[in-house]
Amino acid sequence: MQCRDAQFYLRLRRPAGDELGADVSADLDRHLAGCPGCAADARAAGGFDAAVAAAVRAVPVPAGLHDRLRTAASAHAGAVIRRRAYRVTALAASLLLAVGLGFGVFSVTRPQIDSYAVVGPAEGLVSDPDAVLKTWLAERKLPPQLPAPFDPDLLVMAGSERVQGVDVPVAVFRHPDDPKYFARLYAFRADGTLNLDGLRNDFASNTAVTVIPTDARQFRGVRYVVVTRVRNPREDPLKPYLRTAGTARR
Amino acid sequence: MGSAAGGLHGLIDAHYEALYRYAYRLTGSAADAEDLTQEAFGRAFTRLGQLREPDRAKAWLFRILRNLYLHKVRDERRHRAVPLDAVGDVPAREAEAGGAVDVDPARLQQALDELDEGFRTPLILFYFEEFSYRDIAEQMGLPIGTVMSRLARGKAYLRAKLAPPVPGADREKGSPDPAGVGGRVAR
Repeated sequence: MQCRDAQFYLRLRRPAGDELGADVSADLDRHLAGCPGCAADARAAGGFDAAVAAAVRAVPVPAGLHDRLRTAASAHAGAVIRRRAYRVTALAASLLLAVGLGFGVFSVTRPQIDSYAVVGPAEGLVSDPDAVLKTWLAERKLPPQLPAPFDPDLLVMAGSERVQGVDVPVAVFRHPDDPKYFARLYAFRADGTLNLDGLRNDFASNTAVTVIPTDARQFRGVRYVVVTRVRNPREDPLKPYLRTAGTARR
Repeated sequence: MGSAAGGLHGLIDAHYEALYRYAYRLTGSAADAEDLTQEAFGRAFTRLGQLREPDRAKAWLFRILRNLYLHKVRDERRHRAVPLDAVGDVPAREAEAGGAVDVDPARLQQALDELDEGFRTPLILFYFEEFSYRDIAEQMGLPIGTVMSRLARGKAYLRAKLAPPVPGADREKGSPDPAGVGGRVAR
């Protein structure tokens, strides 16, 4: 190593913890051992660095600084915790207010129950069952006539029912002599939503299924099926519910 | 949060002295150093989650403190320093001391105060002997070669200001001359 290189590395040498690497340090030390001038420079630089390092670190730390810092840190932590608590509280209050407002708006705008809307149909059944039937047929876009002369006075309900996932218009008639017995008239549209090929008259122990034969042109592809609770197995299951039977009474 | 406060107390216990000394050497004032140390720990508390390597906590705290100091200096715009270009070149040879060197801490602080922060910070970190060249480079966001260059020039400046004049010093070439930098220059 030449003096010029040695001077370069002396400037980089640390007072402690040499970072030059083992090879460079060994070369430098060898050069210093054989070069009195550079060795003197190294001693001077080392002495100066050590003196400055000691002076840089010679800063008296104020008494009580440690306690003051810990106290300040605790106060700071408390303030941060309080700030976060306020934020969470404010957020919760905002959410509550938003939910409350939303619920208020919903409450104001949702439709209010009209008791007459409930009472009206029942009142209609009592006062003018014929009109109820006609309205039901019109609203369901069914032919204006029923497939058989059912007695409107026996009408209990005219609405619809879910049958195999399809809304099917249905009218329910009570038996004139015993309200436990009934006839449910279903109007199936032959519009392809349900396969109606399997419809046929059938009987069970307490009920009967009657498919009412209709004029295809008059009833425009609607098939009517009546389910009745059978009171007298020897009797025509529809007969008690038809006006021609002359048995209807209110 | 309680554990975060506990973690901060642990950092204070372990590093408050070094941090205060660093702050003092940066600011040159005990009151400013205490304020800066307190601010640094306060900032550290809010960012404790960012400390991924607890072993690097000291370097992390030093970086926070330096950033706070730089913000303060920039805000106040009152720090007067020798600009980077005014610090002399590195001498061809290391200057010989004329015997045992005894550096007066007050004169040292005065010399440090005169230096631009870009020279002062690496010198302080260098003489703390706890930071490698790489650590200092990371602290300052500079290439390691730049740090070494600034250290060499800064040390030469300090030597010119603090080391006693020696016979034969005229063999040095390009030795920094405090008068040559024009004394204190407002940045």
